[in-house]
Amino acid sequence: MSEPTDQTGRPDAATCDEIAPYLSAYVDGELTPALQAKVTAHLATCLACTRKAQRYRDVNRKIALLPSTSPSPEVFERIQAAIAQRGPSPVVRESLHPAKESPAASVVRLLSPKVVYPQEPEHASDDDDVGPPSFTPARLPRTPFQRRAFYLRSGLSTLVALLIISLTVALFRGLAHEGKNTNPIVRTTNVPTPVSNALRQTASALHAAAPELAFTPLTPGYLPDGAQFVSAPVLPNNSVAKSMRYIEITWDIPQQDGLTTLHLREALDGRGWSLIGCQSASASFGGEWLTWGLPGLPDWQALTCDQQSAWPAVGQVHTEPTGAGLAAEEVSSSSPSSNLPPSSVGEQTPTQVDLAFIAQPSNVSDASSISATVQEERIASLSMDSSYQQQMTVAAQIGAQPQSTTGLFLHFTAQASNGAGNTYAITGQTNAAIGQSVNSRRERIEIVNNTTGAETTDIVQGTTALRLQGSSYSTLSYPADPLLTGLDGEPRVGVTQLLVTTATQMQAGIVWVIGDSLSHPVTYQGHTAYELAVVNAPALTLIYVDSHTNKVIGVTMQADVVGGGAASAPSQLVVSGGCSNMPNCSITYTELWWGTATNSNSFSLTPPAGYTQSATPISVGFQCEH
Amino acid sequence: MVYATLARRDRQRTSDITLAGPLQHVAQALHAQNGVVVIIETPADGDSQSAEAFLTTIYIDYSAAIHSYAFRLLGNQEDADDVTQEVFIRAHEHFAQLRDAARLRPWLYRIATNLCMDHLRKRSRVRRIFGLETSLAPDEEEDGPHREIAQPGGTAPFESIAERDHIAHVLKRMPKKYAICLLLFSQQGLSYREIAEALSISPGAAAVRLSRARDLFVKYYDEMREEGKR
Repeated sequence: MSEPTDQTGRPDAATCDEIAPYLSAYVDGELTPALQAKVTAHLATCLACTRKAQRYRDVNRKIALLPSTSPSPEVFERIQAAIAQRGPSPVVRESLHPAKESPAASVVRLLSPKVVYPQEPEHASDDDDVGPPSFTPARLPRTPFQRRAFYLRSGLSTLVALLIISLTVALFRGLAHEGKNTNPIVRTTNVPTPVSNALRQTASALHAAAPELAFTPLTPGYLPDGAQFVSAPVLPNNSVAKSMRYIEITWDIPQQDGLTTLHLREALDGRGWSLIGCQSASASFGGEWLTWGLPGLPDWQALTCDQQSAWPAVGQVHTEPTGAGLAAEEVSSSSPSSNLPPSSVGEQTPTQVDLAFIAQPSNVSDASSISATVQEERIASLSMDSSYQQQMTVAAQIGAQPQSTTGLFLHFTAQASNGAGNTYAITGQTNAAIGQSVNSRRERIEIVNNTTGAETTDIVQGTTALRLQGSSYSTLSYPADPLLTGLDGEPRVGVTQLLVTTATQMQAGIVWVIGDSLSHPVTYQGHTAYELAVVNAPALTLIYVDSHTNKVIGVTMQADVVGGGAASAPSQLVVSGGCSNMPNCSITYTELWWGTATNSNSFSLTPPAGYTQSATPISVGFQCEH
Repeated sequence: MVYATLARRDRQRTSDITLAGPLQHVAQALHAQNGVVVIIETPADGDSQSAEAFLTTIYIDYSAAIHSYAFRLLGNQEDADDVTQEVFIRAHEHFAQLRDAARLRPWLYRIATNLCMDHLRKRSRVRRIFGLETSLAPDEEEDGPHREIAQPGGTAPFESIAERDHIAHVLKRMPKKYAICLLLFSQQGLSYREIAEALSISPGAAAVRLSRARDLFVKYYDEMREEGKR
């Protein structure tokens, strides 16, 4: 798409007709920065187009409302069966000619049970919707009729086979009873089972168990090297209500020092791990080694840590041993679990072991008191590789009542680095970042160049923003963020950019869903907020996501547990990839906390005392410089 | 109150490592997806063990998404199951043609889209033969599972369910080329480029199609809402 003509050079010169073709892509953030700015400028002066853009956003939101579905449990087994039946995956090279079938293959195919598929129909030439796939499909899905034919053929074949086998067995038994030696020869092999088998067996077992559960079990996407699937029973048993059942998955992890078994339990809510308490390592988080003792069966034990500190862990990063490979990274230990050196687990793995663990004692600010009086709500994800999975809402089920959070504000500081040695400290605060509407809601962002000192202070309210820079004062023209609307539905920048970043992190797996905010329920415009934990945070850092829109609405950190209660503790929350869409950029958040709002100063476009208004508007956004 | 969860690997870190280990023939690709670096391992030609691992991995990662997509297009669980099954069988059979693992996702959606369109064409053909209406959309009888049902433990209010049902019907009424675009973007989260790749059109055409799709959705949404009130 070409850009609209801009003969005047002014950013707001485009007409509605010129903007219209770009509005959809604008909402999706798919325009070039220049075009994005042009549309933004137009929207600032055009209510009709602003409304249209909002309707486009609504379309996205509406379709996102549609619930996800899952394949039936037997689908995976059917795939495996089909693949097994079809034999090894053929080596298919791109070619204009179909691969020739070898004579041997022809014989095998003719002698094998036949599964007849129709030929791939030619794609209609007048259909420009979808082109043909980039390969020549060998077979098509079976139609119901063909399925019946297949089952009929298979059934007859099976009956005949069963008859022959029965006769053979009867004959063999008769012979065996006449013989002396009745012990069958049992062959055992020591061929290690590939992890893929364990994954496949696990996935198959979970799919099979799913109908017995009131939730869809999450399937692990990664297991330690050598892991073998043991079992995944639905417990306690099928006589209890579905909602009371859980699934307990067990893998054996042989030939790993200190690691023997990994148990995971998935439950609907409130009945997962119990008696888990931990205190984590020192404030400088990276590289600290923590060893976790996974709960055993049936009475799960408390988690233990090698080192002690005054605050609870959120996520742990293992020191990366040398070596290569996708190997063990798991946390289970038989006993004793503590004092395992880093190299003793996952000899071959340079990757890390993360066990998100959030300890949030109710009405207690000191982590030392959490000890063993804690309870896990739900294992949010068993997968180490799968994408972010939204968890079901359970707050309403347990009768949790939303609590008013009016008066809370978000305060954060961050450090942005441009990858060239220049760093910028960014602090921000907003009124009512979480909770109910207040009229004075606004955001304040300060950017300080760590070398040259203070640079700017932006104050944002709704779609209006001011910038104080040195002794100058500007009204800001900033790009509306297509991904996130502000607390009152208006496009926002500033603090919300932090939240956008967090949303990205959520998708990246840097933050993890830990369920709904059960301990201190948060609502946002009447919706329950999901609660997420930040990986590698120095202290309990939670992110709240509007369950209705799946957008991040707030970040909190219990600073009172950092460093024994000092809100200004020098701990760091390293968020890798925080600005992954900006090359050579990294963001380090240092402190995030919230508390009761104390400032209710009014917001005004009147220049503060000592400031003069600058000549030209400045277009800004919270982003890293390259 | 304590929450615990087992985490996934930090992909940013694993992107730095050399892949080897149990899969001897692993090709590594870094896939920028929503700003996230995702490692996708594709098996080497003829490596059945790697192929199985690959299949397991992509099934775990994509089966629900593919199924949701097919379900929205076809309107019932069984057809969506069939399409999901065939998508992964084909992926398994033809992974060797996937030269660039970063294109895995659009590739899977391309297969799924083609299979869904084939399904819909067959339905249309059957309807023509039997003198029924020739809409690509499933009929009301087939639409049973399509409707939202309050799940045990679900908390969605009834008006929310009605809204979802309305949205599903709006999508069903739309021409499939536009419904597909909307689903790929808004439900499945594909980028314009991925949509273009999945549908064999240019990114610009994807943008135009998506824009029209939104206009149509808004139009039908309002019209059908009004029709419902009467």
